[in-house]
Amino acid sequence: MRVITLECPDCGTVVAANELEDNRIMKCPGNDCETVLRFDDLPEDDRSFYLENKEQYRL
Amino acid sequence: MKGVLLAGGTGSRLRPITHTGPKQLVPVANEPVIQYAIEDFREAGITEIGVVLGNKGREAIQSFLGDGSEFDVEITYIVQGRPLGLAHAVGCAESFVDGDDFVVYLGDNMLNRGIVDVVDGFRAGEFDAGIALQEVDNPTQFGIADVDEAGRVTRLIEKPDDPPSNLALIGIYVFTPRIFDAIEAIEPSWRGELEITDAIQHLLDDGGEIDSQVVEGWWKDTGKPEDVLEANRLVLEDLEATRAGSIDADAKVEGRVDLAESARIESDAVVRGPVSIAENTTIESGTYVGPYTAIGANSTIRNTHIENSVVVGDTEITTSGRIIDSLIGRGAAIGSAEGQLPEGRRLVVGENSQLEL
Repeated sequence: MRVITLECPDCGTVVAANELEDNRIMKCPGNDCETVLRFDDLPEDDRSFYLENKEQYRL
Repeated sequence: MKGVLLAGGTGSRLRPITHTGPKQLVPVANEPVIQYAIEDFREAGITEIGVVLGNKGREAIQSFLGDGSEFDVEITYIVQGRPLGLAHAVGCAESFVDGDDFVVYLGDNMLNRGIVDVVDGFRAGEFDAGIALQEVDNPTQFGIADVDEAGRVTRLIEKPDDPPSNLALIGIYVFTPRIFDAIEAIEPSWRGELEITDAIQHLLDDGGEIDSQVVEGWWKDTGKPEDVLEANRLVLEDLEATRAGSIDADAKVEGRVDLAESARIESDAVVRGPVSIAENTTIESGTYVGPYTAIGANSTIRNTHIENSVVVGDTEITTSGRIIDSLIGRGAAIGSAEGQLPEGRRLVVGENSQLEL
């Protein structure tokens, strides 16, 4: 199964696609980081793969 | 080499303690379980650590560990979100690992002798992975490894009816980046989780060489209250006691008692080690604190008999009853009903609490 993540460009915190998709727009969860992360920041290929296989990423 | 510390999970078996905090922060001998893992990494020379977080207790873990500098390590957080399995958690660490070999450590596990032997064993050969094993009495309850004479793993079986060995996987793994290809190749199991054993089995099926190290000394998964008490007993057994706090002249203190600088044992109290007493805690007169007890910070214990127990902290215990084999959560108050009418016990007990009265 493809594991899709996004790395915060400022602090290096890594966020899984399911978390990004749940929030769509979120403050980076890294300590004291104010960067805004978006599901749309993922590469187009990752985004479409995730959305096409969304059920895999739910329990 | 890097470290990946898995700190997700709901802690359902530790309720009600985990209603208000993650299981990785439950204290054993007055130190959160997760801190032992950090110390094991550091002892093995691993200071770049990725901490994988779920949805439960994320902020509390981040607040405790910070950027890692307090523990002389460098921490990067990896938010897994939904608990999609250990292999998914490991897969989330790929960009953090960035092509290095890495050790995976379950954040609610404790090892008596750390991970140095496991890491050294892996480094001694050309392996695609290394796994830590321990002999168990009930192999049908564990993931079990079949190994050859040289210690190479030949297959893994989850909770086998007919176990080929008694060597259980204990949740410590060393991986090369090849594991990420294996994770991508597998599918979620019947329970919807991406299983790490499936990924390792895929590595094996693909011709991978997997080393095993049988871990000496004890290993504890601290997932249940009785496990926390057992881990507390085991750690206190090796306690290096520093009686930094104050002990009144008529107090009786025997054995190894670790007393924080701001803690106090008052006159006519009896403390028999091994015992750990944290900061700003007072053991008042008429109290007996018996072996294998850890009392957390900012607590008051008065007129009580307590032994083989873990008191998390911010707690007041003033009952004249005997408390044994107990795990008492933060902020709990256990008073006395003596002299009150009608006679009886008065309880305000939270969801999933367990009492034996």
